[in-house]
Amino acid sequence: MASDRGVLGVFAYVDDLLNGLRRLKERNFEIRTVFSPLRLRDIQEILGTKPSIVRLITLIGGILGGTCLVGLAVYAHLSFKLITGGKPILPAVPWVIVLFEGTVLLAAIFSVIAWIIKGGLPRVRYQSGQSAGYDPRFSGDRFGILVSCTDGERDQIIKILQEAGAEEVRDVAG
Amino acid sequence: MLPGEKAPASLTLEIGTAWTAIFALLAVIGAVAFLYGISGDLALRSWQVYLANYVFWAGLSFGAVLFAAVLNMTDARWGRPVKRLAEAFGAYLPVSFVLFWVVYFGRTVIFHWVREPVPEKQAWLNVPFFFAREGVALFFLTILSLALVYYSVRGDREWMARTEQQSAGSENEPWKSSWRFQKILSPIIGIAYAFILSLLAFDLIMSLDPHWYSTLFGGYYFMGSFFVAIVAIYLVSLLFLDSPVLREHIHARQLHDLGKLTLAFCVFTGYLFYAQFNTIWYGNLPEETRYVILRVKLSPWEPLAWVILFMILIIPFFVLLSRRVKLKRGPMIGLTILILVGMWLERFILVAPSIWKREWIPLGPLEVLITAGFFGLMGLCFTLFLRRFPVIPVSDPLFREALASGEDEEKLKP
Repeated sequence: MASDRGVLGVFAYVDDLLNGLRRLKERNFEIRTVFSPLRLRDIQEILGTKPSIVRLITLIGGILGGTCLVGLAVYAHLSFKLITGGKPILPAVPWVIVLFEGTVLLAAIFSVIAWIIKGGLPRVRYQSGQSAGYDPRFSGDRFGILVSCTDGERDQIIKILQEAGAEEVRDVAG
Repeated sequence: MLPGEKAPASLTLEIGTAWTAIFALLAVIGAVAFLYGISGDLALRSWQVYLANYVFWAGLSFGAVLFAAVLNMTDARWGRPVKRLAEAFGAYLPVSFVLFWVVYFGRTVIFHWVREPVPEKQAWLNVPFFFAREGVALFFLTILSLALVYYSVRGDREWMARTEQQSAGSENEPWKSSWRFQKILSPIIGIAYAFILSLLAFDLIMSLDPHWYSTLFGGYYFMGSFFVAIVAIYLVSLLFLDSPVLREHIHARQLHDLGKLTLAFCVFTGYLFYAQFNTIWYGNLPEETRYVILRVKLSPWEPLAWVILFMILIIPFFVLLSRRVKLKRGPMIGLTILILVGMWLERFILVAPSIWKREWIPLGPLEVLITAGFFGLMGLCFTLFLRRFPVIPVSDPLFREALASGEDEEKLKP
């Protein structure tokens, strides 16, 4: 990699964070990661990152859930026929609800599992180096931008971050 | 600017007189076809398609004014640029009120209970009370809706006639009082809309089959009408996207939001349909199932019912899931037209099978011409309104706020 070193800017406000990101992006600095305690669509738009694979996993979960639950209903109805009021043995109309519930259930479960796996959880102990630049405050009330840099770029990046309104700028190794 | 004067060209839409002529011609053709129809053997077909058209177009224009009222109630800044387009559909309301009274002349053909009164329901279903309550209710809602449109337009007129001192931003700006009236009227319209359109649905559609009943039917009709209105507003925003005034104000954000609303109300209308359908299916009571079985299980209506399901629920649902497609003009114009035609057919299938008892679906040139007549009338009112008044609500405080904050400019990447 061009640089193992990085500069971390800590921000208190979203506007400042986005402002800093835009400026860094304009000058083509390599933004290694952005820390945020909440999901911000703008960050993704500025960074131009691809949508996460979690979406696909959720879709697969949904389709699987819907078919499985309707499959279970078909199996149950065929094994134990309850014929009422001239209705068909396999009634499609109320199964819209079964289909819906099954879809929502497995889609949600698959999403959660995908988040856990993709997020590398559980991470019991915080180890330095595992996630360079991470600060517990990024899970609380602060945002952070980690930018890769070489010695020549360092001053420029620090200047941009400070101008954008970073509360704190520091070097991060590794 | 004085009352009665036209708004400056920079704020109005350039709609050629050719369009006015075309809409007027369509209206005349429709009227001729209708008169020809009711005077000959085709009276039944003419009256039923007249009623289906009446409930479709009246629902659309009431729904569109409700949309403007909802924008006011929710302080929605995003939707300000389409507010006037929504209000423009309200210009059809006085015409609609007149068209309602035409139904009086066809009452014996349309309403089974006029020919053969149902003894246990006669207290409600009798001709004088029927037309009295519909007349009062429609008059009330029409006046309320027109008042909202009036105050909105009056504010703009006052804003355009402002003097130097007034534009400094004092509290006594005359258009502020117009805005206050709009804020008062909006929630009243919201409540009146739900009650009066429910009444309309029960009386004009449900009573065609006087032995059938569904409590949800009113809600289904007025939510469906709101859905139609949102789709129509989406369509006209897309159609007028090229005009110099709207290009400045309608951005990807507005189109994206209208697309999201279309998806939401498509699902909601489908949900309301299913909520009724599933309950009736489970209950399996003969007096309830008859109405549904006739439409979805028996010839000739069954294929049409499936087509409608695809047009208003299944196709729009899957297409609108994509974020990108909501910003594409061509496909969205196509989709909104598909939904509108689907919703028209849905209104038709609610009305016609109760009246029409033959073995084929009465959809032919006569129906198309009468529908074209209604379309022409709506188009005529809509374009005459927009040629006269500014197409963006210039005096609307929320519109000005959105302009000042630059929110309006916000771009979305397609």
